[in-house]
Amino acid sequence: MLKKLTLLLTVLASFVLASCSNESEEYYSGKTINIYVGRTPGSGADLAVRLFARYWADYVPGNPNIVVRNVPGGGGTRVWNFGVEGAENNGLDIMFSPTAGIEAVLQEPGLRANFSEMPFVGGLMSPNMAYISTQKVSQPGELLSAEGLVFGGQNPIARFDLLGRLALDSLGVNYNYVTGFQGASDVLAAVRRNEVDIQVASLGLYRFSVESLVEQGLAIPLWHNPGTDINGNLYELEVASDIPSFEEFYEELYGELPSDEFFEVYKWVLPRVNDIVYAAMVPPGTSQEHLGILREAFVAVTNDANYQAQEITMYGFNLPVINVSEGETIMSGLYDVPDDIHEFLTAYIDQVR
Amino acid sequence: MLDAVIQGLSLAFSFPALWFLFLGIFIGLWIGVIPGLGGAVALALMLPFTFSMDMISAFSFLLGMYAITSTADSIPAILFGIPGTVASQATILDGHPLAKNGEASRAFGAAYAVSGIGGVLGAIFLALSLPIIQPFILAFGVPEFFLLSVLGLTMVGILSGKSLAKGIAMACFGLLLTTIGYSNATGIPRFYFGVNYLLDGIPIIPVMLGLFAIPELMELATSNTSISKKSYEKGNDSLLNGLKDVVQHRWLVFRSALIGTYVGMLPGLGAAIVDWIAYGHAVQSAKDKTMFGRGDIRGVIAPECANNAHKSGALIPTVAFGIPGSVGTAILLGALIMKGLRPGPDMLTTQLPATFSMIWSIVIANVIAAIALFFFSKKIQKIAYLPGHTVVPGVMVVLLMGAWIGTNSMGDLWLCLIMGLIGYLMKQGGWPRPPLILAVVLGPLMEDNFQLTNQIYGPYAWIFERPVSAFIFALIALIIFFSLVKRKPHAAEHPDAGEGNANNLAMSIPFGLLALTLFLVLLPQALSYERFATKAFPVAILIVAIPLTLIAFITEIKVAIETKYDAHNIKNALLDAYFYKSFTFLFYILLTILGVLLLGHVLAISLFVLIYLKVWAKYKTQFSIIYSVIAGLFIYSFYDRVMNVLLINPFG
Repeated sequence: MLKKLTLLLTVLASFVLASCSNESEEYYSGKTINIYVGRTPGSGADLAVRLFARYWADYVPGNPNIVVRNVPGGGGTRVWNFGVEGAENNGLDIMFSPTAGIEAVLQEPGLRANFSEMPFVGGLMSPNMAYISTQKVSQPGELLSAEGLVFGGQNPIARFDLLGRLALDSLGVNYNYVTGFQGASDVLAAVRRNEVDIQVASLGLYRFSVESLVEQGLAIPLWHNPGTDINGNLYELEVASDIPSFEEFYEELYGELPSDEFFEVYKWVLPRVNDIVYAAMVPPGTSQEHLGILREAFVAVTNDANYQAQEITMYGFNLPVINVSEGETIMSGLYDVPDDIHEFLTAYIDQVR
Repeated sequence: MLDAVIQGLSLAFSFPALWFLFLGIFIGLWIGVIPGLGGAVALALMLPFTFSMDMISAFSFLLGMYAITSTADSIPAILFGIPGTVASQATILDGHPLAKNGEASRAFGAAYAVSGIGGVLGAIFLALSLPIIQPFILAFGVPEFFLLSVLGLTMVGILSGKSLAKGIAMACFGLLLTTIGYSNATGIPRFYFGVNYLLDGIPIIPVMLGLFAIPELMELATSNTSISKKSYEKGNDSLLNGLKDVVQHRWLVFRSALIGTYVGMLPGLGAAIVDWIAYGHAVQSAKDKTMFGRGDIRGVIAPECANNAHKSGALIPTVAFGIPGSVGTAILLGALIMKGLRPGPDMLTTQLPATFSMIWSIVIANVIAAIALFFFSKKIQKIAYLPGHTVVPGVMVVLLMGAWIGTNSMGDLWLCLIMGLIGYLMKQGGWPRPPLILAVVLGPLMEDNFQLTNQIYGPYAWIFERPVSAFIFALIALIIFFSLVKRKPHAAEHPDAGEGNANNLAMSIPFGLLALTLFLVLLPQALSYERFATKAFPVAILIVAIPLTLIAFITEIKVAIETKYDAHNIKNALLDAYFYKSFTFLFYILLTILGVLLLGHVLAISLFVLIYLKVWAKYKTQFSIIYSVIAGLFIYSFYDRVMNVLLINPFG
């Protein structure tokens, strides 16, 4: 009897699952999924999203058409505002863009979306690292005694600027912070011209444009910004294992792990602004069924051999994937800011504004 | 090196790369013609199609598109006074007046020929410069970029028409526009008044379209004349005349190609500035300057040649250093990496054949595009002789969509409308528009590089310590000196000549008052910013702008008093400017923008076309309906389906 009941239930469950699958297949078949990216066409984020989008449709039942649309503006916040104010929660609109973690933490003007209220589909990490030109420093150990070093960045609330300053201050480096470059390649150009010594750059930029300088003896890699696990512990990124993590770099110089207030803030900021660089989220109210399909498809793309091969050609490595629970934890963490951290960050950024 | 040149050529001519090059050229021609799209948007959209191509095919395809958008963009610039891309802004100054004078074909002939020649010369200069490229590029740091932008701004003197005060005041207005939004140096938003749209600053495309294109369309709509003010006479205007002009001004072509190539090599300066530098050079080096601004062919030759030569130059920092100087080259860099090529010095040594195959692709694309456009020109130039009412709706479609494409925001459309109103008042009132747009182009370069220079090198010592800086600084001083000493207000000898020489006091005085009020209101706001880096630039601009605007304003008031300007004069002046009709036309645009918000792009703009043709132009219903349906289909199929532009669609 039990066997028959189990069999019956299994058949029923299969039937229900199959019908669900057919329903979702029917739902997405012939439809268009819009992926909104908050950067201009041709930017690094735009190219990353377009590459991902090319494979995403293959894993959504019904093989819908996927188009990438650009919604730049508001320092990257406009696309997220659009996600809660203009996009449809019908499973066909996805915001897939660099997050605005610092803006959320500091409650900068213009950001109206609350990331913790937007269902998370998936995320990609874009590892990054710091390097120095050999103009004033011939080996990492000289960093602490060097004079007149210039750290170049884009603006005081950009994540590379903030993480770079926190790390350099934690190390006790004597440097001059110069900001206002239009983009990472402008900072790189300034390094080539010996106007800037230190840059925090994406690992992709390092692999394709800086590594040749390292080979020529014109630059030295310093550290990579590590990942953070669910308990807040830092871990070395496999894709950047040839460059020490910041903790390792500090330990090499000082023989102990960092523990100053700059490092504490660095550790707090890191997962919130650096772990998810490209987050895919849908408008609040999107059905669990559609969300589930999109999440599954997202993971499937990251496991697709062709996509992975394209990633390797494009970046030199595979972008680490942020799963749903990690993503949700990070997003809710943006709104749980201890007063002392908020005060520190506000004052720290105001110092250079 | 000769081996690399030959290997590069054989790669560029290999199959299927050549077919993909042709395909790229075909798409690029369309993209260049449609205002607002630009090469970068097309490259980004087409990039995924290259994933499955081999390396050389992918580059041929992308470079075909990239290289020739600045050839095709001369069509809307000359015909409608609308720059197809940012690279053809300067072309409109003389290109459009030529079309108005019934010489569109001549302008096209010259533009296409020099575009092709510019592309080829650019590639030759580039090949010859390979050994000195690295030191050349590295000699230009942030102080030199700052000084080059100041050098560019000295052109205000030659773009100001008869009143230098008005010209500089408008340049200040343009610079002030560029300070809106987040300051790059401090991350503090300025002059955004709680409007999120303004946080990222003012996008250039809606400003440009509003400032130049809307006043032209207002003129066509109110007078219903054709673009050409002269009737079509066979043989009077031909492409051959343009070719003869090119031969006659061959040294200008050569010098403009040099400017384009070497400015192109400097990452960050970009196509938007190169055409202005070349235009400025054409004016400064001309003995007879009287026709500039009202249809001098040299004003077409110089920018069109330079903006094509620029494309070759811009390739070098991208491939040799991995430093793209523009969005377009950034996409090319992405494609390069995706195809397994590694930017770096190897591209100038072991990978030199691949670099040369790219240069060859640019050369071939430029030549083919120029030839193709020669064949189509006869048909295209006929648009200049169509009645204004037939042309206006079609151009409005691409204008509104072009303004929208920048950031896909309603703010773009409102900005375009506001700049249209400002452009109309400026044009009628003799406040020159070119200095304003030039300043909008140069403003961010100036401020960013000034701030960076200040942070890296300190206040001023670098001017004398860096040889290139000292040279550019001396050049600027000389230009300013000679402009002041030798300034002959040529336009004053030709009262109706060029931009900024209109003298409609009924427009000029209110606009002057408006500008002065705006500057005075913004000054306390600028002073209120705490950090020096945040307020330095806007305060400096306002300190210059306020007295000059006041001088220009008082001068106009004096003229009004001396000429006993009364209500009768005002009435006549308003009639001359088609004031009421012009404002009704602006009201049409305003309703269309509101319509976009309520009904979406497709419906609202189609309705504008229908109502304009039926009510304003009093065309037959059938014609009006067919025209508006075609407009709607074009917006939906091209912008939504092909270009994937985010459109408003309230009906799902």
